[in-house]
Amino acid sequence: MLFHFMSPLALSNSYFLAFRPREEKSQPRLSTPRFSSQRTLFLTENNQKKLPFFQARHHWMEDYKYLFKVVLVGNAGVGKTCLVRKFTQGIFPPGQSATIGVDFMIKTVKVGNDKIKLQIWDTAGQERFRSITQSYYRSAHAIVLVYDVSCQPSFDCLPEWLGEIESYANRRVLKILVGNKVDKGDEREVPERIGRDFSDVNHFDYFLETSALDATNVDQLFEQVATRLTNDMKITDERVHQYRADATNSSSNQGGPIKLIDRAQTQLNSCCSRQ
Amino acid sequence: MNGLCCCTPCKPRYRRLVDSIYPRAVTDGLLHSNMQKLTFYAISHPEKLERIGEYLVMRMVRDLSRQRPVQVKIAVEAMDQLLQACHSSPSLPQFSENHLRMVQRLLESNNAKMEQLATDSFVTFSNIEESSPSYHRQYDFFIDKFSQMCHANPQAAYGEDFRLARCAGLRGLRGVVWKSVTDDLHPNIWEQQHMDKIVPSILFNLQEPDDNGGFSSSHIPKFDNNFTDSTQSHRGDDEATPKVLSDRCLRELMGKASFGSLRAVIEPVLKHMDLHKRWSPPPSFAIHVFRAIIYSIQSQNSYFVIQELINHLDSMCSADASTRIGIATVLSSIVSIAGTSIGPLLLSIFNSLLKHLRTSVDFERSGKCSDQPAEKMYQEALINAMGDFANALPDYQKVEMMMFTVGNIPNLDERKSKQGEEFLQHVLVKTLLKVATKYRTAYLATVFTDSFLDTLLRLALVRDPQVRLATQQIFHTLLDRHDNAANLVHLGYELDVADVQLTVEKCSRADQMFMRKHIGDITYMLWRAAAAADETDLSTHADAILCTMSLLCIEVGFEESLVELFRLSMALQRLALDTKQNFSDAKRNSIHNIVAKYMNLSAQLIANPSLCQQVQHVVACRAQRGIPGLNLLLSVKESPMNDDPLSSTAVNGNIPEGTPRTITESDHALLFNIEDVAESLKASGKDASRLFVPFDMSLNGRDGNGDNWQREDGQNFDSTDGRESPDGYKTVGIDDVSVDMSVDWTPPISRKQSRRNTIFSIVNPPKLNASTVDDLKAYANASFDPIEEDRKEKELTGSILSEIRNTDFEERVNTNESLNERGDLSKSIARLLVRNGETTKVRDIGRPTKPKNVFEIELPSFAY
Repeated sequence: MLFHFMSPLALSNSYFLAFRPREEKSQPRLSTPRFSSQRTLFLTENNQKKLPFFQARHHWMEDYKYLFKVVLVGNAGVGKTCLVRKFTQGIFPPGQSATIGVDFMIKTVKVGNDKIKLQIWDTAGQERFRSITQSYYRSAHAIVLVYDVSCQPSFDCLPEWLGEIESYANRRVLKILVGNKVDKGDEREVPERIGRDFSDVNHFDYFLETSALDATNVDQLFEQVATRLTNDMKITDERVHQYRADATNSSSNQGGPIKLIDRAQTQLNSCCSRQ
Repeated sequence: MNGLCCCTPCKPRYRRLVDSIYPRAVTDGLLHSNMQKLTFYAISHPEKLERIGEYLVMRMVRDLSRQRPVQVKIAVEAMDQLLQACHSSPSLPQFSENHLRMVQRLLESNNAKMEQLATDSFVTFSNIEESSPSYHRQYDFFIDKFSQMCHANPQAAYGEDFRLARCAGLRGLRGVVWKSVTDDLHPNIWEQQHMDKIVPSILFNLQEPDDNGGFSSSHIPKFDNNFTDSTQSHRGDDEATPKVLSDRCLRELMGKASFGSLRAVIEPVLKHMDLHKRWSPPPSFAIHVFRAIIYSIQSQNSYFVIQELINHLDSMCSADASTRIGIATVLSSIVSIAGTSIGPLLLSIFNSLLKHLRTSVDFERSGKCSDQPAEKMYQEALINAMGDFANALPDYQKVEMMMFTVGNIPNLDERKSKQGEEFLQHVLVKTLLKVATKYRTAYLATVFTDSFLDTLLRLALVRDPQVRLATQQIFHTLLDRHDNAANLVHLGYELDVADVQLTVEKCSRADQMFMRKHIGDITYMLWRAAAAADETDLSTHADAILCTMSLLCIEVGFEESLVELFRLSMALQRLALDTKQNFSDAKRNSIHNIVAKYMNLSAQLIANPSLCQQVQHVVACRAQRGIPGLNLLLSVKESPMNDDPLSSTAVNGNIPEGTPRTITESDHALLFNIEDVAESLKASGKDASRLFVPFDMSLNGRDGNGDNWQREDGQNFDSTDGRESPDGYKTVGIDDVSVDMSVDWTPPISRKQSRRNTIFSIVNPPKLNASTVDDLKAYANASFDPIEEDRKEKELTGSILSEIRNTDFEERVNTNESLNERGDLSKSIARLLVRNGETTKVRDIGRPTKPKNVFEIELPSFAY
């Protein structure tokens, strides 16, 4: 059985499955490459003749354990692109002009012993690109909402952005609030306390103040994103694992796919016991 | 290369074959001979294909991470070749999974070159038709990534190659669309979440200013040296710029959209236009896009696009006027294309346009509107949209639309219409005119249905001079079947009518029938319109009336209508002479001019030499007399177009004191003599007897039903005038003769006032004048013979005239009294029909002895 899980096709499918929004993954969590009943189904369909011999050579193919989509949103000019650049390329692009539409970066980070791939979608803050940026919320695993601590209006717009996230993003998306440009000490307009309060009140999962210029907290931000998402995913994985183990090992009717025989047995038992 | 490795013999054969395609030197490309071997092996061993793919991808990923672009390129090329060679292999699905994995890896590399490579490879893949469906495959990442590439800009990773990246993104998106729509099991491409990315990406590139500039030139792509990259050469020059490519993508996408998925495609388009402020005039981009859409989608669905646009207009109804103008302009530019497919939704679409027009009028009137000119422009745009809409429809639907518009014109009868409604009336008449100009009349009866003609005749006489003018223009455009109107609009006094270049055709039988029925109403309307002609814009109104008369003469120039028109001319001349009218001299003159010009035109058209001579004589006399504004010869010399009496006055300069400014009744030489005209007509074999039937508004008009004709004062009734002799139309008793001779039409201020001043001449229809049931029957059964009718009328007129002339007034009153006593039946019938008892009152009013009683009448409350 294990071979089946690890077999090439299973892995080859995984990259599609990993993109699915979290909501769709509900019952059997498909996003994890290892445990998925649906994948097993494909396997049995396509690869009956497959030999377990090739299992080993696929380690390089899955050079990451999980893949997460992270979307950065926030007003124009709060430094979203700079944050992403700093994190992915280690540079602070001076004179960065406004992003057009959406930008894409990929970075692999390590959480514990696991390699985690982060797809970072850096959206344009300008109003005119709102329709295309909204379309990227839907499949995001995490949304990083950025404001500029030296710009009160960008903070004032946060409720508006929250509304957008509410209406377009997945309900269980990881929400992170980031106050950027803390290097502008004197020009600060939004105190950290205010930002933290806001994040608490609006149920953000995490709050952080960063600076893309001097790299304050930038790595920490994305590490947090990766760690939290991975932990979430691991919990789910374990649950699914447990679930599967229960389903395969025991003939009891608690959890797992209900087999007709089991059900009949249970019914019979209960009937007997009652009598 | 691997020969030295001790494991080589242990390696499976496919691996050895794959390894062999890589060249020894980095500078060399793919080793083609070895590639052929690999291909042959893959074809002959389909079960190995998947492993070959896996191994190739593995090597490719390794090379990618080690920054070895040459090897990466070779791997991609090999994958592409295998994909194409093995397109019918049973293990293709598994192989294509590997291929897609490779493409994804390349796209994730954040390297513009690799992205190009990936896109090319993906496009190759999208061209392959797979025999077995792949249920679980999703293109989410590809859509995301390609959309992102469509937004590439020079500042980001792409540098100067950003156009290239955009093209790649567009081609990739197109590839996704191809792949998904060919596969029936992939309907998810049309889901909102995908279209929200694909459509804005395409539009974003379409709206970007090209090197070429405007949209018109976008179809002639300029060859740009930047794009002569070797990887692009096979794509052809026509897809060189993102703009051209995006245009194609848009059309393709629209062409593939089914009815069910149209909404998902159109909505992002509308949203994009909103967000990018593409509606604000001139909305050339929006027009371009929607034209492309309409042309690309299946034609039976095009009404849906229009519906969506109108819905969008609904939702934007509180938005800035410029946005609405934009949407309306777009509508007007596409309805004509979509028109033919509209079919059942015709009226609903037209109705919603009218509704918007109404809303806009209300809004403008409400005072909340800050930008009235913009609101006017919006209305104009809507009217244009309706006009264009009508243009695309078949004729019968145009008639339908005209009826519909007419049905929407508010409160024709009620004089106390609100200001806003009058304005709406104005706007709707403009709409009607617009629609009417698109209609080509074949038979008059098909367009002038009773209710339509009725409304038009009323519209020609409403208070608003602009509406009256527009109505005349509607008549012009509907009557004019031979494109003569352009020559007749400013008809001057033509010495030789042949110069006007008119097309005259014999009047068809159907039209004769139609005219026989309606010419009376029309001439009556014209007469009243002339009386009501606006003093401030006299020449325009006079020209419009003259044009209608001329068109009638040309289009339906058979005997009866011609005579009727001559009769109208004579009546107009009398109107101009009538001293009781407080017309200005200019107005009198312009009416005289109408008559002269019309007489001239029709005399020449019917080729009646004696009549021509008369006209010339009169005109010459008038010119000699030097009355300013009447010298038609002068205006001919000056400019054939200039017949404005006011300007002629100006030309004449100082007028000596004491010179008459218009013609009086005594100037016989300056007037057309009715007897002479009749003689001339008789000479040419026409029955001119009808000519002597004087014009009378209250019998010909739609009596009693909201006729707003008013009499200025009671003394208009004057038995010595000689003109009040009863009209020949079907009158029997003298008491039924109209006494309302008022001709000075001043617009009534309100319904109340107008009713008070109205003489109710004949309330019961003429046919009820038969005194016995048998008469009635005979009347009902009698076929309508106009000539006979005329003869009867003439007889009747003669007898009544003689009665009036010869008998004493008191005696006549008595006779009438007794006649009425005897005519019990007609009385009782009249009573039955007109229960409100007004008949008697009205008859009393009509009685010549107490005309002033009019003001003492207490009308029933409903009349107010």
